[in-house]
Amino acid sequence: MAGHELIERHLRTLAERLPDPVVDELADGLLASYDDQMERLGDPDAAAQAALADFGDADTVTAAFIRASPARHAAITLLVAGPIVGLGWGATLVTANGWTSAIPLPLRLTLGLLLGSVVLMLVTALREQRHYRTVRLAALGGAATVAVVDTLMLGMVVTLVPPPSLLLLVALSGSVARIMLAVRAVPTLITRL
Amino acid sequence: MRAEALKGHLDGLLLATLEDGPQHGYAVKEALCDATGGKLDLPTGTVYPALHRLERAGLIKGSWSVVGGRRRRTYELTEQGRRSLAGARDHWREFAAVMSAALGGGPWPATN
Repeated sequence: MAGHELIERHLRTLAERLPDPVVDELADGLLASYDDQMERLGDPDAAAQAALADFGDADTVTAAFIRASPARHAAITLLVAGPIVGLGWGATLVTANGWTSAIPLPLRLTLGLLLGSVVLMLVTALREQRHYRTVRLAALGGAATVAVVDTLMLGMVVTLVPPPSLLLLVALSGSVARIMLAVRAVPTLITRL
Repeated sequence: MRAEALKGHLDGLLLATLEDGPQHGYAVKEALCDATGGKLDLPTGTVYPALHRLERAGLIKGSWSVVGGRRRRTYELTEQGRRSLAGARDHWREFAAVMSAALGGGPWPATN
């Protein structure tokens, strides 16, 4: 497929990090650049080195794709929304009149574990610079788990029927908004590069 | 030219390269380099993420073909992309006129 061992090696590195259609497109660009350099320089080694220098190293190219990826943008949005919704629930639970004692321990533990997982996945999606698939999977997992956490919170309120309050209303609205945000992000994360 | 000087203008520049017809990624990069007399020579690999971003925004549309046995993705402007390019040009003229006036250079655009 490629015209030179150096080019093949570069494409193999990119193939380990980026989705197949992206690598196909990059391969076409890199090989077109190699062809141009061959016409200019006439020497395969010099042409391959010039094409690679002009193309950019694998870290730079991968990082540029990851920065522009919908997965990373979704992770940023959910990470920003996290403390806002969390503050709403925190204030609601701290000022609650006794009803929080009825929350079963297994549910508390489950929510804690899920919240920890969400933070871990979204931070991974934000910090990862070299593997596009990792960013995508982490953002997808984070979005899905956020939806589960908020659904559990809504379910808990429906089950325990706490006394209505403005703080509870704010927290519920925050969770509903975040579920919608996460659910809207999931198809994009699955289908779009 | 320093990359940070391009901030906010890269989208308009990429759209401008597609104004005369569809191009693939490497051709877009070369067109940008040629149009600026080699002053704007971006790493080829970093042009593609920008093109993908423009496609997601609906400003360009990509399609696959096979050329010389290789899969090639070619991009063309959408109507929304043409409007965005016109807006980018207006914005740039306004910005350049203001900056030229403020910096005390010659009149802009140059009329010689």
